[in-house]
Amino acid sequence: MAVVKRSVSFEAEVWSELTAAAGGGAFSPLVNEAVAFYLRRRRGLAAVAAYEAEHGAFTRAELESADRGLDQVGVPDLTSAQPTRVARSRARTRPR
Amino acid sequence: MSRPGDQVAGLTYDTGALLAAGVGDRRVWRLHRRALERGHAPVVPAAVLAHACSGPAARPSSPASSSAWSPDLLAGFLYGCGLEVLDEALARHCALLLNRAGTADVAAASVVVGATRRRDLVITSNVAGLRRLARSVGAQVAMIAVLPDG
Repeated sequence: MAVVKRSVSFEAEVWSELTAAAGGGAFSPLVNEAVAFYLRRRRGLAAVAAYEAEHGAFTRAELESADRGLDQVGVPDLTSAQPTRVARSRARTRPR
Repeated sequence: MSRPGDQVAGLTYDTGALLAAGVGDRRVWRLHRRALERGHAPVVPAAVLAHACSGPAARPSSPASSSAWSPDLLAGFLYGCGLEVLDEALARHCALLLNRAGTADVAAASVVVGATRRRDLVITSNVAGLRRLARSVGAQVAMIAVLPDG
């Protein structure tokens, strides 16, 4: 598979967590995997939006039903996981 | 191994989920939306994709699927999914499971092996079949049923 090399910048605390997560391994596969995962979810949500545009938007009741089904079997909400120190710091300093 | 009621790590789609998506089933599409919004990218085992795309014989004939089959709908559904490759190690694990269970459904076996390893919830129309397979190796898999069998 073709690869491209680019220079990217990270916030220092994010980089610190990344190096710990990599455990001495290579960073590129880790970053590539994270970005690919992000793009996959983005593409997926765009496809859901296209589905709803054609077949009708989901009602609140439909979405609550889906949430109940996922909650009953313990599907976690990964987007509400404990924020990193950087995110917590941002939340504290964010202007109202 | 995942047990119904415990927290699961992610989602795996069985053939029934893809077939339901391909006929525009609202239940599976809204589960898909919520899964993506919760930060998951559901997994589709390669054998499941092959089964779902194999032709009319694999497609549902229940009243719930009265809408026409649409390859474009399935393609859109798959945009948000990750494909699990059926490599040699997984194939051998599936063969072991099928041998113990006395069946030959490779797609179902790949769902059980992968979902058990990842502790995934499985979206399926084949709850009984997957449960039999899982029990043959002493495993349990959390499942949500979509379109009925057949």
